[in-house]
Amino acid sequence: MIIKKKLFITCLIFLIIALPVLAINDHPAVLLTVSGYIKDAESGESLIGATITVKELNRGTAANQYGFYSVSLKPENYILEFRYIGYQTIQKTITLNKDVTLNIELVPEKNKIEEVVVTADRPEANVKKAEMSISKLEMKTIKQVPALMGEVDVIKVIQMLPGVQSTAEGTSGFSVRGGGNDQNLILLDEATVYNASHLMGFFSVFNNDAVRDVKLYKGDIPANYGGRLSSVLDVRMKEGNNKKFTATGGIGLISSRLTLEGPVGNDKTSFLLAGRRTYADLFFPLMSDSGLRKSKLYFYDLNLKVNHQINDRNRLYLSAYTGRDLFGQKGTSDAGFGNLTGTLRWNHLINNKLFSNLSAVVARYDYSLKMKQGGSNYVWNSNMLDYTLKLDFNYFPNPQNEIKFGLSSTFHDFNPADAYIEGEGSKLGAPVPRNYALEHGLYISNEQKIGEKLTIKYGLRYTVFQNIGTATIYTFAKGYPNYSVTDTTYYAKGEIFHTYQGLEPRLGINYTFNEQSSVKASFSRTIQNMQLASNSAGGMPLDVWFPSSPNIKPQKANQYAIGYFRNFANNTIETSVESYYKQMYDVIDFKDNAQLLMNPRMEGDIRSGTAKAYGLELFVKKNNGRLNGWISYTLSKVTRTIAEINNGNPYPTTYDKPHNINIIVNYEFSNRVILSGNWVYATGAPITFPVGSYVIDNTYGKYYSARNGYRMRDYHRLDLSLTIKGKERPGKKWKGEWVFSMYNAYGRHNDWMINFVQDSKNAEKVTAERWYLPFVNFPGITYNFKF
Amino acid sequence: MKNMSIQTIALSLFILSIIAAGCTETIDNIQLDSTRPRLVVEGYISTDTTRQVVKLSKLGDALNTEPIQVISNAVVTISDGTKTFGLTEDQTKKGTYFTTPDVFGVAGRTYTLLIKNVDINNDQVMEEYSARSLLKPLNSIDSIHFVYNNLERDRRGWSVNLFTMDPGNGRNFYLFKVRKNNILLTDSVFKYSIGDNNSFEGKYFKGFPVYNLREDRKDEKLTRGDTITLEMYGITEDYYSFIYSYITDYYPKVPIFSGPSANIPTNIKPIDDAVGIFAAYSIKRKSVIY
Repeated sequence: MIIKKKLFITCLIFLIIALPVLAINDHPAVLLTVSGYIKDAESGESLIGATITVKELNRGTAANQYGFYSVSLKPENYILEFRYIGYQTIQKTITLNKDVTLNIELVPEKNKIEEVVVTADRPEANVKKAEMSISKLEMKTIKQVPALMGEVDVIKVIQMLPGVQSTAEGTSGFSVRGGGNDQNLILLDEATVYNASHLMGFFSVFNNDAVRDVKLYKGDIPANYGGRLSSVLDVRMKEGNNKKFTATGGIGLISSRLTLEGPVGNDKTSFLLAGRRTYADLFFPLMSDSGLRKSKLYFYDLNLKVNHQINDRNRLYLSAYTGRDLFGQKGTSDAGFGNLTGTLRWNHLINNKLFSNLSAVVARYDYSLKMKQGGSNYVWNSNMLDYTLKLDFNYFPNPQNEIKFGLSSTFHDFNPADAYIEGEGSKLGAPVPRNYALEHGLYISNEQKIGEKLTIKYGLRYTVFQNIGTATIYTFAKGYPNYSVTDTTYYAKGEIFHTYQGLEPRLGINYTFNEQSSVKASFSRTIQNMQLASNSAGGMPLDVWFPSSPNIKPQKANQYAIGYFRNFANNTIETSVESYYKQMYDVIDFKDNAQLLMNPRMEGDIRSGTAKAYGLELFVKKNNGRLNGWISYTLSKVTRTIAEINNGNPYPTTYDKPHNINIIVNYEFSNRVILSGNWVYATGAPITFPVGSYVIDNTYGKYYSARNGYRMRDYHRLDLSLTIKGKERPGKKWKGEWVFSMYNAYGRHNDWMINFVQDSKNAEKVTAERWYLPFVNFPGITYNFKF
Repeated sequence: MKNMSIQTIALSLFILSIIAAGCTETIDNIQLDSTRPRLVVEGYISTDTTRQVVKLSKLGDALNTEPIQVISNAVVTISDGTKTFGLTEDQTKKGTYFTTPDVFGVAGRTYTLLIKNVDINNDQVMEEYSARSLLKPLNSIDSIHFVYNNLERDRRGWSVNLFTMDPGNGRNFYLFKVRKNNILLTDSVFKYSIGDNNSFEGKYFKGFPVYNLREDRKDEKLTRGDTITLEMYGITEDYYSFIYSYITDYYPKVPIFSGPSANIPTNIKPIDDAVGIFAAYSIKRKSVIY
C-alpha cells in the first residue's frame, strides 16, 4: 500500500508540472520552424543524435532516431550549427521569415586520428543532456575491442560498460545494475529479440556490419520504452547506402560475413542485405572424436533493410532479421533455435513541428528438438510470436520543450511445448498449454529546458497487460517445498480473464554548472509482465517466456540515480560518477530443483519476492588522440529475499560481483596500425557448495550451504588485438584490414564452474573440479574488407 | 511418457563436450565448511514378499573423506495403519534394519516409517523421525522389445521398449531397473531410468523406450541367449522428484544450463534434520531371452 501511495503522489506531481508546461508552450503563431533531416553525405544514413545549435541563443536540439530535427524560433536571422562527431561541422545562416525545411548532409572527416570516437554526439553532450545512465556505442568503437576468435560482438562490449555484468563467461547474458538476464529488453529495429545468443551465447545475434547504432539504457529509461525492469538495449540497423553500391565483409577463423548495400534506381530508395555464417563444424570430420565427426554445429544470420523516401514528408522502412543455430548429431538428434523479426515503419511529418512514426512489428523465437530413441523420432517444438502496432509522435513546440507521446499494442502468443512422435500420427499432446496475452502501453514525456542551466525530463507510461483465452489456469495451495493444484479453470477463446495495469513515472533532472560539468538525478519506475522460465546463470536456448497471470504478478522496480559529469581537456576526456539504488518487487525465482521444461504446472514452481540493488559507477573515457579508450569501475551489491528460498534469508544473485573493473585501451601507432587491449576484472561469482554428503544406492549425494554461500575465485582476463589497415591510394576502391587477436592473453584458468564429482569406480572418492573455458591464449585472425 | 528431461541433460552434455572438452583441473585445497549433523534415511517397502529394508546413517563431510557413520540401536517400524512391522538391525551390516521375510506392501495403502531412539546431535535427547508414502498400483508388463539403433552421440545399442497400460487415475510415476542374466545393471541411482505418464494417462505404452543398453559396454552388450529382465516400479511423486534431483545433482553443473545447486528434496520429517527417502512402490517384472 505504501508503494501505491508513493506512486500516486509521484504521478500527481508529474501532472502538476506537466500540464501547465504543455499549455504554456503551444503558441505556434509567434514561432517559425526550421526542420529537416541530417544525413551522412557519403552513405545517406541518418545521423541519430546529431546536434543543431542556434548560435545566437546557445541552445539547440538533437536529431531523433530517424535523423529528423525541428527547432521553432522567433522570426529573426540565425546561424545554425550542425555537428556530429567524426563529421565536419556545418554552419548555415538563415533568415527565418517563414517555416524552413533544411536537410543537411554532413561530410565524414577522414584520415584523422580523431576518427576514433566513443560517443556520437557533440563533445559536451554527456554533460548537457538531461539523460543519464545511458551508454552509446559507435560501431567503430565496438570493432576495435579485441574479441574471442576475432568475432567482434556488440553484447560482449556492452558487458564491459559500468554497471553491466556478464552473467557467466562466454555467454551473451548480462545483468544491468543488479537486474536479471530476463530483465533486459533487447530491440532490433523495434522488434524484441527474445534470445540474443548464438552458439550457447559465445556470439550474439547482431552482425556488426549491419548495425548502425547501439544504445543501452541502464536506468532513467525513457517513457517510450516499457516491458522490462532493468535495461533497454536498442539496436538500430543501417538503412543502406543511397549514394553508391558498397560491399563490406570479413573472413574469420570460424565465420565469414558479407554486407551489400546501395541505392535502388535513384537515391530515394536504398537497401541493405547482410549475411553471416559460422563454419567451425566443417572441420569436425577431421577430428579424432567419432562423436564430433558426425556432429553439426553452426549458425547463420540474415539482415535485410529497405527504405524508401516517398516524398519530403513520408518515408517507409522495412527491416527483417532471421538467424538460426543448428546442432545435433547424424542419426540421433537434431536441434535448432532462432529469432525472426520484421518491422515496417512509416515516418510521416504531420507538420514541421510534429513528427510521427507508425510501426508494425513481428517477432518470433522458436526452438525444435528431434531425438531418435527406440526406433521412433520424438519431436519437441516451442515458439513464441508477437505482433505489435506502435504509433509514436515527436512534437517540437519550441526550443525549450520536446514532447514525445504515443501508444503501442502487442499480441503475445506463447507455445511453450508441442511434443509428438513423428510419423505415427501419435501426438503426445500439448502438455504445456498455449497462452495468449495483450500488452498495451500509452506514454507521454517532455524534455524541458528551464533557463540556461536546468533541464528536466518527465514522463508517464501507462501499461495494461491482459491474459486471453484459450487458457488453462491452475489454482495452487501453497505448501513447502511444493505447491499442489487444488483447482483448474479453463477459459474460452478470446476471453480476457485477467488484467494487470500500472503507471510508470519517469523523471530526470540536469543542472549544468558550465560547459564541462553537470549534476543529474533520475527516478524511474518500470513494470515487467513477460517472465522467463530460466534458472541458469546464462540463459539457454530452451528457456521459454511466459506471461504474468493470476498466479504470477508483474515484476516492478523503482530506481533512483544521481550522477556528476565532468569533462576535461576541451571535452576530450569525459568522467562521470553515478550512484543508484534499485528496489524490485515480485521478482521471480524458482524453488529448489524446479522443473522448467515441459511442466504444465510450472507456475507452481515459481517463488516471488523482492530484490535490492545498489552501486557506484566510475567512468573515465578519452575520446580521441592516439591513445584512447575507457576505464570503468563498479562497486555494487544485489540480493534477493524470497520467503521459500534460502529459508527466507537474503541471498546474493549469481551476478552479484561487488568489484568490477574494465579497461579498454586503443593505441594508434599510425593511421594504419592500431593496438587494442582490454582487461576485465570482477569479484568471483557467488556459488553454492556442499557442506555435507551422503550415499544412497552407491551414489554420492550432496548437502548444500546456504544459496550462493560461497564465491568462485576472482575473474580477470586480458585480450589483445592488432589491426593493420591496407594502404589507401587515390582511386583505390578496395579497403582491407587484418585483425590479429589474442583472447585471454596471459592464460588464466578462470572458474567457469566448480563441480564435485564422484569417482565412477569408487563411490567414496569425491573430488572438486574446476571447469574453465578452453579459450586460453586463444588466437584469432580476421580479414575485413570494403569496396 | 516424459523422460525428455533426462534427454536434455544428455543433449546439454553433448554440446558441452564440444565447447569445454578437456578443460577441467582438480582443486586440491578447496576449503569447505561443515554443517550440523543430520540423519540419512534410505528405506523401502515394496509389493515383493521379502525382508523390507531401512538404512540409517549420519551426514558425512562435504568430500566424503571419512567412513560413513551408521546409526545403530534405533527403533524402526513401518506401519500401514492397521499393521505395524518392526525392523531389526542386522548385526553383520550395522545401520541396516530389516523386517521379517514375509512382509509385503499392498497397493493403495499408505505406509508410515517411524524412527526412534536416535540422538544425531549428541544432546542426550532422543529424536523421532517419520515419513509417509502411498503404495501406488501398477499393471503388468505385457512385453518388452529390443530395438537396435543409434543411442546418443555415436553410440549404438539396444533400447528396451515397454508395452503396458498406465493405471490412470491421475499422475503416475515410474522407475525402471534392468538385469542382464540376473545381474543388476542399474546398481546406482545415477543409472536409474525414470518417467511419468504425462500425455499417457490411462493410455497404453506401445513400445515406449525406457532403457538403453550400450553396445560399447561389456556388461550391457546383448548376445543371443542373454536374459534381460525389466523391473518396473510404480512410485510416488516424492520418490520421482528425489531420483530426478539426485541424478541432476550427480552430473556436473554448467552455468548456461544448470540452475543453482539445491538440496535434494526429502520426505523424512523433520525435513531440516534429515535427508534421504522412504518409498513404497509396486514392482512388476518381465524377463525376455534375446
